[in-house]
Amino acid sequence: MKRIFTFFPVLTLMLITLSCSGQTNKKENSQAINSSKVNVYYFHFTRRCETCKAVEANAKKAVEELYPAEVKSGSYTFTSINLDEAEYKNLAEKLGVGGQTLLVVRGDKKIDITGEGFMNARDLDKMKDEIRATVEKILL
Amino acid sequence: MEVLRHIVENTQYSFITAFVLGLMTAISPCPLATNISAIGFISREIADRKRVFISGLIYTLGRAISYTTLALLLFMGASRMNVSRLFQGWGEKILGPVLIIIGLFMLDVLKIKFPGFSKLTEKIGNNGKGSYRSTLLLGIIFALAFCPYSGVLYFAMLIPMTVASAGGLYLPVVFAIATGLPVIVFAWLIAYAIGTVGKVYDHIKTFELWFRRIVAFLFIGAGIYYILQLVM
Repeated sequence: MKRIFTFFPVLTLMLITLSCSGQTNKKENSQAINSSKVNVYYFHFTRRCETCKAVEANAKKAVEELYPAEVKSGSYTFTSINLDEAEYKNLAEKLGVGGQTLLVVRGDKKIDITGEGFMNARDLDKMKDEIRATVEKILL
Repeated sequence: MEVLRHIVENTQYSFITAFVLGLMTAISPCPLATNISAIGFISREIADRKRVFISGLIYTLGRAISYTTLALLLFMGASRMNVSRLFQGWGEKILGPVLIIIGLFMLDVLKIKFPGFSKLTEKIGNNGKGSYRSTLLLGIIFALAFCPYSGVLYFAMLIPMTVASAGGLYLPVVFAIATGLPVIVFAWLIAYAIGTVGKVYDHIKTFELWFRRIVAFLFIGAGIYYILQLVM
C-alpha cells in the first residue's frame, strides 16, 4: 500500500490534514411510521440494470415467503419506489435515501442492506437469510 | 462474477474488497459502452505503444481523482443522500450527449469552442502530442457517470468502508486502479495488434487516421446508446 501513497502524494497530505470524521448526518425518522410495522423498501431510478431488477424480484419474494401471514395482514410490507417520481421525494428524504437502496424500516429504526442485497441478488435463499436476519435484528 | 462475489463476501481485507468491487464495476455490462469508448480513445495512437500504456495509467489516475474526491467530500460530512442522488440520478443522463459531442468534435463536424470544454474536444480533434490532459479529463468524467449497478458498488459498498475512518481513504484509489485495469490491458492489446499489422504494410499513418475515425463513431454510437436507454 505504501507504493500507492508515493504515487499519490496529494492524497497522503489530505490524510494527514484530515483527522476528524465528520460523517454524522443520521436523520431521525418521523413518528408517522407505525412502529409495529416492518417495511422493506427498495428504492431505484427509472433506468435499472438486470441485477437491480433481480434485487427487487427476490427481495419481494423473500418477504412474501418468509412472512406470509404478516404480509396478508398488512403489518409487513415490501414497497418498490422510483426515485425519479416526485411524489416520493418526501419519503426518500425522511429515510435519507439518495440512490438505489434496500432498506428495512421499523418505527424510527432502519437498517440498510443494499450491499448484501446486491451481492445476493440472484440467490433467493441467501436473500431470505439476509432479510430474516435483518428483520430479527430490527425487532430487538 | 460469481467468483468475485465470493471474494467480496469472504475476505477480511478491505483493500481486496475495494479491488474486487472495482473489477466488478469494470466488467459489469452497464458501463461497458464507456469502457469500449475509453479503450478506443486510449489506444488511438497505435504507432506508439508506450504512449498507449501511459495514457491508460493517466485515464486510471483520472478515475482515481473522481472517486477519491467524492469520498473525501463524503468523509468531510457532505450528505451521502444528496451526493449519491446527484450522481446516480444524473451522471448517466448527461453522459450520452457528452459522448456524442466529443465524437462530433473528433470528426471535425463541430468546431465551436466551449470554454473549459474545448480542452477536451480540441485536443482530441488535433490528435496532437500533449493530449494526456484530455485523457485525464476523460477518466474523471467517465468515473462520475455512475450507472445503476456501479452506483451501488461505489455508494453502498465502497463508501461505507472508506469513510469509516481516515485510514480507509486510500480505498477509492485501489477501486479506481481495478476499474482502469481491464481498459489498460485491452487498449494495449489493440494498439499492439493493429500497430503490428500497420507496420507490416507500412501504412501506420493511414491506419491511425482510420482508427481515430472509428473511435469517433464509437463515441457517437455509445452516446446514442445511452440516450436510447433513457428514452425507452
